[in-house]
Amino acid sequence: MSKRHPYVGLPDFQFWKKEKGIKNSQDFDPVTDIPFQINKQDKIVTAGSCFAQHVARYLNMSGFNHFITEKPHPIFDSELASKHNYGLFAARYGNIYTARQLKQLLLRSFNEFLPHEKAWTKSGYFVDPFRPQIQPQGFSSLLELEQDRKYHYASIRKAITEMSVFVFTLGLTEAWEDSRDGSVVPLSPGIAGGTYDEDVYKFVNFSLSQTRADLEFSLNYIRKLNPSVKFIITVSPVPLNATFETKHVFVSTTYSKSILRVAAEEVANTFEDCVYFPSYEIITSPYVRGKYFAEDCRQVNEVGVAHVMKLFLKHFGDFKLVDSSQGDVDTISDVKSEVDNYMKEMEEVIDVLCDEEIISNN
Amino acid sequence: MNLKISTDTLIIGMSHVEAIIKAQNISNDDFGITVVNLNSSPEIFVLKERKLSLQGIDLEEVSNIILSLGGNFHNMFGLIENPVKFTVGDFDATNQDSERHFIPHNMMVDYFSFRLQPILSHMKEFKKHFPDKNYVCLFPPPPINDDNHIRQFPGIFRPRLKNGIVPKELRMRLYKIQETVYSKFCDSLNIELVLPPNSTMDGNGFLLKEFWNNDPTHGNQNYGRELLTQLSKYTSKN
Repeated sequence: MSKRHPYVGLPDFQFWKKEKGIKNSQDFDPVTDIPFQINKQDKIVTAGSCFAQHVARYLNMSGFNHFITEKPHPIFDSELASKHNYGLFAARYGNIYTARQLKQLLLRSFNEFLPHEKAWTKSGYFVDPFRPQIQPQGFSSLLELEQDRKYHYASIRKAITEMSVFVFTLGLTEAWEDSRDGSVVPLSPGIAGGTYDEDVYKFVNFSLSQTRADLEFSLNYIRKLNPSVKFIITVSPVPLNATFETKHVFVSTTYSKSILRVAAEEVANTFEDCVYFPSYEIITSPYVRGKYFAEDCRQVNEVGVAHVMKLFLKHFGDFKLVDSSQGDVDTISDVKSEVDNYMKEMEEVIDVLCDEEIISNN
Repeated sequence: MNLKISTDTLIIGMSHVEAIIKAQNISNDDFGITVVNLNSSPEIFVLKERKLSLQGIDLEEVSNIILSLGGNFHNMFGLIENPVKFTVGDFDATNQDSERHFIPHNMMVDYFSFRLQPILSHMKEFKKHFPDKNYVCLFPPPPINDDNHIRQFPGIFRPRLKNGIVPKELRMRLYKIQETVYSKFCDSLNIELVLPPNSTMDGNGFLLKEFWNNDPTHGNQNYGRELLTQLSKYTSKN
């Protein structure tokens, strides 16, 4: 017997008024088809816009293998390491807002793109134009920046080639591009370093086709190096802080997020072992009635992040969200205790040295 | 009352002041300066607890206080290789020893600032307890540039010599970072920071051989004599 109409027998999640979140927003769960699972041994690399930092943080806290390849030296504790942006992501790349940025980061890391702009200056120190806020107080010399960059790119190469899962959060379509070579920077020069030269840096608002092409390129590039990697794509729900378009910032936000959402969908539908995770929908849906935004109507509060990550952990591995402590920044853990013991010994040696000095004479 | 100082200048510090004491002993002249090594003054300073107790000191006749505190801190990293060898800032940019773990310069500065706080806060305690004195901070001697001397006179570092000695340029780098931290701290307290006399350093800032003590980190009585000459200008500030 044929159905009365095509909607008969479809799952409840395909019907608005069947959603449990109407009564209790905490029950809202828009996650449906997840094609793979993650276990605690899988090396997970995260990247993307500021919302991606929340994903990384929760992975750290929940005992997942948040794969950090650019680690601080073991003498540093978590607090100082965090201050210098270690452990935020797999490597110290900072926020990656656009698909174009991701593409160029890969090309730079694998020595296939050498940008014209090597460094910006700010108040007498040097910053990396592609991660201008990564080093508090900047780098003391251009040589130091280049040293750091060498170590940084090696860490990225290790992350890309060894990771099991790559979680990428798309954030923006607006960017600033160096017209000399097309390199895209995360912040306009003049904000966190560098000098804004309107003849050099041009505003760009990436279209759907450009965003999709850059994202596809990036995922293909990664797959060539790491054929078994799985991808999770998500869109940041955080609105634009500012738009360079002569439009209201919320209008620009809707346009950007729409492009990102469609690009994410189309790419996820094209690639094997690639899934779209609806962080954007969880935060912005009417079911949660806007209560996941902070007082500035922009930042996502901790309750909202927890909801997103609870569903992430549930659907990708049936894990539970654990405590909300910060978690330690991963150092070179296999020698941490050796280094700690060494430092303690050196402190004691210095004490004894100071003490013995009053006895020795020449 | 535990200690009364009758000279107009007091130098008070840790192991590096011994060079000055030796110089005074040899010359039989105190130069109008009293030198106190906190490490041998348990009534004022408990080394293991790093606790200062200033109530028992009478400094009524003292006009100038020269502090020499925590000078050996940079040697904690700067003498013997860490189990995870490191490089700081643009050191090794040309040699590129890939075994060394890169540490950003400003991260090491932050680390020094944090770790030196307890020692440097003793300067604040002095100023608080004796606010009407003229204060100077004496910076420790620079590194010795000869690994053979360190191997010959390793002192208490002998058991760890097998780890290897940190390259001298990196040792100097750490010494300079300590200078940056001290300079900033002294500025904040309006204390003058006095660096080692130029006469004691080679063209690269290392301690000249004639001033080496028979250990890896300290200056000898010759160094102490140079310091007394350098610091004599403070004794006339009455």
